[in-house]
Amino acid sequence: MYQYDAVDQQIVDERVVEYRDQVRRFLSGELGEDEFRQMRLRNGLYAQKQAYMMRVAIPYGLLSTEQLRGLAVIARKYDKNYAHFTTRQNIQYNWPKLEETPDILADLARVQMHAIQTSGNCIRNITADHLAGVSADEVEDPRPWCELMRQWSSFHPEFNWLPRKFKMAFTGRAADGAAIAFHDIGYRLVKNAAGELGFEVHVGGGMGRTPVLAAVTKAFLEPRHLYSYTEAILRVYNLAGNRENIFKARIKILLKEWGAEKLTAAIEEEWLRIKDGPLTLDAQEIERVRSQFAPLPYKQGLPTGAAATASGGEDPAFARWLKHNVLPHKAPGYAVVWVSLKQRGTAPGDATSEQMEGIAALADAYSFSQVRVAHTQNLLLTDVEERDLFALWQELRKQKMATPNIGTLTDIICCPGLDFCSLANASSIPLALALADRFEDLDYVYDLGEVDVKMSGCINACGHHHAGHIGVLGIDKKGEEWYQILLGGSVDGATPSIGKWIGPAVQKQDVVTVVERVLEVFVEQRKEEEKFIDVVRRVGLKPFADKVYVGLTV
Amino acid sequence: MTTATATRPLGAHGGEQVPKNKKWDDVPPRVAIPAERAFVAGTVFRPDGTIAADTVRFVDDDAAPLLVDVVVPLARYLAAHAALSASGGKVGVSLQATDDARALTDKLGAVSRVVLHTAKFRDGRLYSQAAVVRQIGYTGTLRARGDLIADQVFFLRRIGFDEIELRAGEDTDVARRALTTWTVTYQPSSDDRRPVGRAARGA
Repeated sequence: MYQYDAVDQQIVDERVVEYRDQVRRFLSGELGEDEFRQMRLRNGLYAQKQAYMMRVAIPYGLLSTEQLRGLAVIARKYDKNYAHFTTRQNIQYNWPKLEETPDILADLARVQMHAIQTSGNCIRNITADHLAGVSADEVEDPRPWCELMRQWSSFHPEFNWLPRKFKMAFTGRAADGAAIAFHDIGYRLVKNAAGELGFEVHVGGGMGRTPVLAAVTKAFLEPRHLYSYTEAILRVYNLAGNRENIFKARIKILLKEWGAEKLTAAIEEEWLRIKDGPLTLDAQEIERVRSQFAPLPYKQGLPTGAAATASGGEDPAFARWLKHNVLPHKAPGYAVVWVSLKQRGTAPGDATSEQMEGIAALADAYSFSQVRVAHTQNLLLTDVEERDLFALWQELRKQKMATPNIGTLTDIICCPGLDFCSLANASSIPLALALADRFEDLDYVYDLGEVDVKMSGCINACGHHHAGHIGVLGIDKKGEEWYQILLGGSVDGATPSIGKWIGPAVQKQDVVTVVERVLEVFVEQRKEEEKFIDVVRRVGLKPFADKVYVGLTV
Repeated sequence: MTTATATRPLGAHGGEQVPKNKKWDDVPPRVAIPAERAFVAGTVFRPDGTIAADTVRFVDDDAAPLLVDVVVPLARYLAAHAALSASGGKVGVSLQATDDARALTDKLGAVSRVVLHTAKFRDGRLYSQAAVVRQIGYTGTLRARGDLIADQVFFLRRIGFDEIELRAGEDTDVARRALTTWTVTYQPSSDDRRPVGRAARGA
């Protein structure tokens, strides 16, 4: 993976010096509250309900075990011994003390990490497909391009004060594990007819109160123009984006108001002015970064399939885990392993310091000392020898990270909600826990197949409720928690879609019942092994709306 | 053109809404920056760290004479530039955040100074306007004016501003320190056209 050189290190070290002085000036009264807020946000520090929250960037979701141990130590030293992995492949600490936040940044810098631009109206952390580099259906590993983009977007002098936050994601495959259609810019690596590598560029997607699917503004962008084309998009947005109304300020609103044709033309016009200038990426720079993501030294001739996992015998629990939490790898004899952070009784995405250190030790033993964070709030060990799977499963089970529920109903994606967040209307975590409790029968859950449940405690959609097969959104109705239910969202690469309301909101105590009834309708309507999302798309919302509200207060 | 007036604080949240009755974190009382360090109106901060007396006059009166040290709004400049150019005269031109800087394309002949104005330090349009002004070939004096804070001068200098009118009371020592926040940068900008990439920009 990418290692900082002297320039990268100097830039994060100098940032710590700047931020330390800003904290000092705020505490001494020399720097005002509103001014300091903008400075701290750009260093990942949010004011939450009961304390500050610090969001640390995990660029494209990739961690070395040294970094993961660093994160565990920070949780122990400065926080309450746990942290939360987010839907944007970041990690959040919930209880840091303001006075200690410069020290946290300094500790992060020591393991080549930072919290730069993880909040505020600027270019945020770059996310990537969680199967980058290991998936057989990939055109190319997108992570070198993510790292190049991380560097270009860090402290860009022109784009630090945008109308609103700005998120970019990369994928290297059509199946798209990065949900690029829901980002301000999504880049998909593609090959043209001549077999050359390029980017398909998607602009103007987003969730929040106005969900919009991105439009393709460039079907094929030559890699050397990645920076110039991105700068053109940002300049158009920075000048034309809405600055009157925070709810209309994302680039998706420009896409809605202008239409794809006008937005595409405006970007193209600006791009042609700056194309082939100093922003052009040369082959040497591309190679410098790409060489650090060279394929790992995979062994040849390893046993595969049943022969490799025979040591697990007939253990049905191991078989379940193999089926649900293990994915194929492009290299023969290797597998991709999900580390579930959705164990019953804990908030989705939370991990203790001990769990982080435990995962780091397992990655050292079994997976080239690297760990991935997925937007589904789980972790991955991406390069495990199949013959080690049984031993790894036993270790994961001991540490309660082998819940065999990946991609199922109880692999719920959930924002921090009312328990932490000052924006939230609803307690998403307790609700996620209640759902997981209700659907503890694994056989029932497996029979349902792939059902993606996403919950947000408010309209800002950190839980990506629009993109869930079943979306749950907390709203405030006269001071009470109510919940909207959506069906039919999907981040699937080929056919992304935005979920739709099935009807009026329901009370908190009825949410589990509504989800149960939705699933009953699904089972009634389902033909053979049809997937949930396909049934919703085929039959529409009416059969669901007709049934779920019977007898409930709405 | 008028300055946009916001119905709510511009981008106040950055995704965050601080709870109304936040009790866990008291905001320290403000202290005034000592007079010898405080930025005062009537001066400009320069990217070399010096502070100079401001000799420029901003003029809204349509009848006022057009002179080198006078700055007029964009519309008046556009109306007058042809005649001024013909006579060899020069005048400063001031743009609000909603003005299109590209309107000056091929009309820079009579410009003595371009002034970009921001109503709120969180409003970053002037950074892109500055990039556009440089892009269309303007090489003369570029000034940032309005609600600008000391912590912003590194980026303001990078983007090509030669004169910065900070908010009155800002700490000029902080502004001077901020000029050297970073000793290396990833991107080309007006201050440094070296191409992207370590080979060209490495330490």
